[in-house]
Amino acid sequence: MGRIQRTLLIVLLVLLAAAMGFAQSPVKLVYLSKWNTGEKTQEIINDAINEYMKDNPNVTIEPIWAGREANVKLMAMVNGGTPPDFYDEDPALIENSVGKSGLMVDLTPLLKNTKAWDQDKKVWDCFSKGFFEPWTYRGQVNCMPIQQYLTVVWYNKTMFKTLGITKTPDTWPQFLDVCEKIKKAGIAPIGLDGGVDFYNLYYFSHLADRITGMNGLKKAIYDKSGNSWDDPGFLKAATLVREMRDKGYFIKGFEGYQFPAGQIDWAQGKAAMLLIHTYMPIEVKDNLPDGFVFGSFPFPSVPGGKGKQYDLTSIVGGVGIMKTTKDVNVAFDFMKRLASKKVQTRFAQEALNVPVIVDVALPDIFADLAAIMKKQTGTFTDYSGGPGQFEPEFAQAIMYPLVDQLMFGKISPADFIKQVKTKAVDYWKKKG
Amino acid sequence: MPALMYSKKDRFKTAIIYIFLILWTAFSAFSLAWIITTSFKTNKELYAGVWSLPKGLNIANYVKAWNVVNLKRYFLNSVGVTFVSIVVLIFLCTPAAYVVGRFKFRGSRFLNNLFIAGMGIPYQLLLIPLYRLIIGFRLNDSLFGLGLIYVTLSIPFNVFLLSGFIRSLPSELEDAAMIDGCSEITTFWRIMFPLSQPGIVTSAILNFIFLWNEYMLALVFLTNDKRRTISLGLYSIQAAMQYTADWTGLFAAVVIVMLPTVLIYVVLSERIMAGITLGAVKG
Amino acid sequence: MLRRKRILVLLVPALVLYLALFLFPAVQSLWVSLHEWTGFTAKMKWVGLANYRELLHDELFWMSLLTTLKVLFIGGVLIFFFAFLFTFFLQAGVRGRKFFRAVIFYPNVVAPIALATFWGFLYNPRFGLINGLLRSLGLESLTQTWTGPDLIFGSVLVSLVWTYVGFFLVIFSSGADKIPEDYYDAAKIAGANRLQMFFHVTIPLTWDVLMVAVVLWIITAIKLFEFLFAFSGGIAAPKPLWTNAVYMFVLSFGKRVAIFRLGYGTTVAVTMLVLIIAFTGAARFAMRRERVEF
Repeated sequence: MGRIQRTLLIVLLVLLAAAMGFAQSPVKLVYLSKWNTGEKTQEIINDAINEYMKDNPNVTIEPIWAGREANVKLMAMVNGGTPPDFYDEDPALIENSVGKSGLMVDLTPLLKNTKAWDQDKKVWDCFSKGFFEPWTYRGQVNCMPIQQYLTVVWYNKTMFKTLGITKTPDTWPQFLDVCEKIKKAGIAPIGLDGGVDFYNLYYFSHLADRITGMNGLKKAIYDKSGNSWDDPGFLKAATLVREMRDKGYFIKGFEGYQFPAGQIDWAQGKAAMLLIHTYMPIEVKDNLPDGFVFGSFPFPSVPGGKGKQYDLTSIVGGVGIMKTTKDVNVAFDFMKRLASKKVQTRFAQEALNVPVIVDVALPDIFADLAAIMKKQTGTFTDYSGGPGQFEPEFAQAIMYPLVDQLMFGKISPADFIKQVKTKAVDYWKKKG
Repeated sequence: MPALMYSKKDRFKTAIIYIFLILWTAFSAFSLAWIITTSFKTNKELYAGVWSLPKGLNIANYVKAWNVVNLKRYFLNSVGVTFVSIVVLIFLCTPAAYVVGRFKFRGSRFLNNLFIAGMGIPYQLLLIPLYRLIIGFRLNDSLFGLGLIYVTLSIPFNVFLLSGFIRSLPSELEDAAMIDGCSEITTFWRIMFPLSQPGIVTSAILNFIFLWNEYMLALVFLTNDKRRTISLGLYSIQAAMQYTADWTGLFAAVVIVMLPTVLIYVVLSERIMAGITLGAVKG
Repeated sequence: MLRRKRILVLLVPALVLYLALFLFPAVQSLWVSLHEWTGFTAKMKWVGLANYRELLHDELFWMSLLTTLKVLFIGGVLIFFFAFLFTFFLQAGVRGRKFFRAVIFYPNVVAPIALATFWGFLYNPRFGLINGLLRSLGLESLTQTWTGPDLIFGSVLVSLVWTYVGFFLVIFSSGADKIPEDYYDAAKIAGANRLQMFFHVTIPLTWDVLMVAVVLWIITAIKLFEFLFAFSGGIAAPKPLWTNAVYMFVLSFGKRVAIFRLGYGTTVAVTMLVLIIAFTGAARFAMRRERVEF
């Protein structure tokens, strides 16, 4: 071999060695999570992490199960210069903390261009059409949902049968009839943990959207002039809420129920219906009396209202990647597994989550839910009961306190609307 | 105070005192009993009847609490950090309290107020700047770093509490020692320090309770599972419980975490009695 | 009277640690109140006194301030009353005082979430023990929604008092136990009954400890947080329970509500600090007197 060829060969070999070295170079990623050891979801994610590490020996993922105070831990880590690679939290919490500061990777190109782990389509296409809309902030997707929770009205099927209620209500008047029937039988129609402010808000927010149309409440909140509140639909929603209270449809003493007392009472059959997210069944599953059968139906429509019965609300939990990550491709390579058919099936069957991708079956306990989701109109709205998710300060300062007063019978519906409007205008003026 | 005398009027008053005390403590005892018995129930039993007795001694909750998170390890970590911190605090703060509480010099009042002002600062505010400092010292994710923080944050409370106790100690012994030719420092360690025992024991107990149950700082400053403290274990179980509604499991964890604190208190309260009589008799 | 400056050496280690790792970061963090900051960005936005101006108009702040003051005064009076009462009882030579003291103190060693759950169940309108007892006595009309918005503050105050009486009892007792018998003997000879002895011997000779207790309560009451938050199953503290401390935490680290305004939250913390300094200053001024030696 001539000198030049020998040199070239050596260079080639060196390059080859370097390339191999690179491919094998170890990557260490940190996964900061809001889950606690002991929760089923944590177990499933941890298994997925271990499986990924087995399949990719040069990658180490270190999970930090920080619990619901993970945002405090994140704050410390970011400020201390040791940010994690993954942040596992609700999209709104991600957005309002690190998202709007520009610290999160926009997942859109990764979602659209990467093939799913165990399916023959791109990750983006595994989700239902328009799924990412409610979780897109400033044109970016900070967080890929991995579990979702819908809000429906839960009831005990066995009890309904005993009471002779053969059909679940589709419209508001039918709903009131059912309430009256249950009340006459000596059972509280609706259970509620009145001590939790956002639970109280669900009735108003659902009615508001059923009357003024999907996302009607959200639009009104963001209207800086405050004129949207003059829409008679909101007054009607407030009046209907008040009517339920005055007719005694909420369990007696609900104002004083501290979580989880309201759920306990419902599970024990002291109340018939419960408007709450789909994470409730797993919370009460092991504590039910024998013969209990879960049933659910969507929040009823209001005659003459613009919203439809099958407009569904949902909140999600998901994962995001921070821009400071050491290797965004490896990170996403792992993350996409959490939205895979295999893992989502586990989430559905074992953690009783509603899966986020379309090809996964729901567990039996959610049989009604599967049917409901099939009839869904439009895409999800993102606040499943209140603006706590997208405009938290507004919720905190205005909606929660005023709705509490409305529910507890302290102010009239008209007064409620008036105060919301005044405070909303002030709020936006202050924000500038 | 002298023992109760037994005239008729006194017996009546005595009875009232006893009744009142018994009612109050009975209620407290009841609440403790409720927490413990509930920890032996299954959640189904709890849902069926909040106030009923458990059907059997169901220790599944305890087993689960002990195993779900590595409670044994956490327990040892907590013991280590808490005890070392308390010892350091005693030897750091008692002398300081002596100076601040006993002597009037230029700036003593200011110092006094400085310590009090420190107590007014919510530690949550210090989380971020402290974390930055700790990272700078490369002490993050270490029990030593956590201990350092614990000691520092407890200084104002301890100095304040101990200075109050020390202030009311008799000065004859001090004076006598000085006349005998002891230096101030020797006087302190030989005389005042032992005399301050009741105060020290009280502050030790209160420190123990606070540090044993502290979780926010531990959450931020510790990461590796091997180093977590027992309060983090409880926090983890409690949070998991809320989302799986495992209330009886929570109570089992609470009892496990509570036990050492109760034992320490019971055992040490004997020490207080012993220490006090010792201090009163001497000299 | 400082005989020799050398004694200051005893103070130095604690002071150094305190200045470097406590006061310095504290000043740093208070500086944040002049900014708008989420806590997640590298830069804070300077806003000067804007946060303080916002505070003046913030309804939630004033409401939480009122609640804080209610806890401080109403709670304080009740706690000190019962703590004194029990100190008196236990000093009066009751048998089994160690046992009584331990049991009265024990709520302080249990995690707040467990206590709050217990009380939550106690107060529950439907299956709670209190209403259950009232019903069995035929007093259905007296049953209330104890943890409803009207009564929850009172209810929580009761459990707060129940917890802290033990704490202050321990502190008072440690001070009272130190008093040598001779003083009581002298008083007895002078013809004093036990009540008079309590007021003329016990209290004056534990004045320093008393002052410590008052300051401790002021600080505890203003900073109280965990206990209140636990009263909803830990999800969201009900508004009637919001003190400044709760409000500050919600603003800075928000539980599940995504508000991250560390700057504004620190402003609330500054007001708490001001309250503490003001009240402790007033208390120590009101309670000042020459040191009593014995």
